Amino acid sequence: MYNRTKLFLHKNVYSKNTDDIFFGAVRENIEWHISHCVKYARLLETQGFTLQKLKSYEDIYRLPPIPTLFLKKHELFSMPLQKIHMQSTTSGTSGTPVKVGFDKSAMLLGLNMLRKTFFYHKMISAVPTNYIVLGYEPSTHNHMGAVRTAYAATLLAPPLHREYALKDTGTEYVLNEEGVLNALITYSKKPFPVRINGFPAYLYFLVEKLKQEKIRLSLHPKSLIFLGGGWKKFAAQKVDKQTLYKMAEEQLGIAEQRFHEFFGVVEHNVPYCDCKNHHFHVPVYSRVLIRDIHSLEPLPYGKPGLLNLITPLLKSMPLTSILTDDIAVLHRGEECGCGISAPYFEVLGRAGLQGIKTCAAGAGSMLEELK
Amino acid sequence: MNLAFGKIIDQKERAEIVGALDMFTSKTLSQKTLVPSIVINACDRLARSIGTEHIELLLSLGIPKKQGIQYLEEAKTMLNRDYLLFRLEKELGPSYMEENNFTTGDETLAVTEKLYPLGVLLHITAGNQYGLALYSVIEGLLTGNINIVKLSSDDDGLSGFALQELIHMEPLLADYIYLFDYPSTDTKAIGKLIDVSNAIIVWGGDRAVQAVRKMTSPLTQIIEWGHKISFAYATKPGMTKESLTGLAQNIVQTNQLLCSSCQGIYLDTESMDDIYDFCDYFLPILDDCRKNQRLELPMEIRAQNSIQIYTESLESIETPCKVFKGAHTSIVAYENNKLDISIMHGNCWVKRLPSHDIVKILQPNKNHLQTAALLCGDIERNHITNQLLKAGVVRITDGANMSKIYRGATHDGYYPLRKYMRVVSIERMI
Repeated sequence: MYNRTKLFLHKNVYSKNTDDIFFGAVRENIEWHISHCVKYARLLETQGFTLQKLKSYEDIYRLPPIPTLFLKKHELFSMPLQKIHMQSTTSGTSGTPVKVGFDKSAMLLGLNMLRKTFFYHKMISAVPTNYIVLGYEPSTHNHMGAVRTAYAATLLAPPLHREYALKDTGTEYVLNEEGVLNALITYSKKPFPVRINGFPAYLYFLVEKLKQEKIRLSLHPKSLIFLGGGWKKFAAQKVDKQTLYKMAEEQLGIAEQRFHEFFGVVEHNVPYCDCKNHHFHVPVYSRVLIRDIHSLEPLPYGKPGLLNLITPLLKSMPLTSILTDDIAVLHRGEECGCGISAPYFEVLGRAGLQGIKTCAAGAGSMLEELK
Repeated sequence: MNLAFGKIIDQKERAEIVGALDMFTSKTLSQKTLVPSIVINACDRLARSIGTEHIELLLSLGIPKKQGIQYLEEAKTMLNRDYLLFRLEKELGPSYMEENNFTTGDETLAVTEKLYPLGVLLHITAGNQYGLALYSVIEGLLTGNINIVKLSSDDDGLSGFALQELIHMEPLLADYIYLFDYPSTDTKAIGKLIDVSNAIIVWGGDRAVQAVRKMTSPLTQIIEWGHKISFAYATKPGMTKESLTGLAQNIVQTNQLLCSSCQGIYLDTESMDDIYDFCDYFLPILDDCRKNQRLELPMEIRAQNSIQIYTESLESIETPCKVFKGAHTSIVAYENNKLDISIMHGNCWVKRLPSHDIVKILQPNKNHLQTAALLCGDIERNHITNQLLKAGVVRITDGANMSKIYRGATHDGYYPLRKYMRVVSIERMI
């Protein structure tokens, strides 16, 4: 795994000259998984893939991607479970949650990747900060990747205080709207920056509430908003980025340049932070392919299709190439104009049945939450 | 939306009304009687008030114009006087309003039997059909019941609007209609609604039905209108291009989203080679039907289909199958014979099921079975029809007519109005 270590310790997050190391790392990674995960090896075999087909960097697209849908129904491990540390789970909004386990080396390399990524995007600060987390409070009964990410983001600047929108009562989560509002008002009177992390839908609801209550705050100029995750069940209320930023700027006094967005997939583990033009550039740790929605063949720049994320980070699970449910488009880095030359992707939507009314058996029922 | 006594109410009023709901319903039950003619008159007036101006309302709910016009036409038909009278007579019998007087065989008892409302119905609706709560409540009203609706979390407001209009047409109905939008997680409130009801009418999938069963005491009856599965059964003599084109049309026109849509095709064979040959033959027919339909599915749906088809091919390591992929549709040939839903949107399955195994394999799905399209020769038709009915299927059609609705058809094999009434017997003192 020499190339993997080299790749994840690479000094530049967005270097253009890492194709050889990346290819070497992917090949080593696939070799490891084929010899340690029988199910994965059989799966590749049924798709007509052999290691011999990975001859050069250009062959990476030949590797059959694993759909996140497949992982909802099947577990794939390349290590004994006792050697796997820390398990994140997906939210399970669209079905069964997926458990993702990390090997020790992946954790260490992953932490370094996070540190470098956040450092590059100037997210790390030594100034003590108050946090509003627009998401779940960490809890022993919640292993969702989004919870860990939101918590980890409160360590980027020394935390003075954290207030969570979804508070843990020990057995369940309760909405803490009043607590968040009060904390925000208190924070606005302090001489410290405020960081608001979490789901964009929650930020929208928060600024709407402030608007209703006629509260306009002027938070510390070094304050920051860090959003991640989709609108999911609030898709109907979704507003575009610019509208949301403008609304938040009016109510919170945080300038648009202080807004950051984050894209991540639990099954993939590489964080994508937006640039100053709010684009997700692809770091050295991964590659992004857009696949045709019918043939699943790779598409050129500018063509929308399914988002395929590739990284050789994990030895614990064969998640090297993941086919997500996201519909996205890949652009040349130069088209952005922010100075990062690595390509960037734009998420356009999500595959699925949203809004489709079906009465066929097995379709989602409205009472599913009832126990 | 919350509605009680003909008025929209807020959450505070809702809490007060639900707190005393047993008092309100028992007062209505003891002091009033709702006869069908009152309901029919109100519905007919509502039907006649439906006009093209209502299309704006449907558009605002995100319903495409063409579909909206179809819904309005359907509503006009289903609320029309003649149609409601026809239903009452067909479902309850021509003498549904009359008392049946007779003396027992040994002449020791003289009795009067008549149909009587169950009392209070709680409708737990699903969000998969526009106006479902409206039609469900109208069935409850026609049979003289008080109707409480627990709206689904994604209710579009259409039923609430129409029911308000109905009360406006006939204020006497105000005491017979309650609408509450409690979330499904508010089990305490839903429990209260269950407690005052004689029967619960559940619309939705298995999990909804199971959840209601768990919450309900034996004192309250449960009437389930759950999700169903439909399929086709084909033998060699029945596999003509014409019959298969009809079946393909059902698949692409309904996108396999209805309970009556064909999810997959069972072939009367034990050979996988027969299955593969059939897939090779049927795929171009299915693909042509989709192509001729000239309706491009949204990108999100096409992407979802591709992911699912690809996932099926990956899963063949555990569930042996072969994917036949066309330009617009696909077929998955499985080695197992499990009745399952398909990927939908023009993607069906094909499996083996020799005719002598029909009952054995399908009967375990009993309450899930709905329509079977039977594509076979004339000589075998009666035998296979009986086998399918014995397994639990409630409707047999050809491929093209699987989802065709006709006036007075049963709902999954039952007449709803009949289910919402009981037969009471009163001894006549002579």
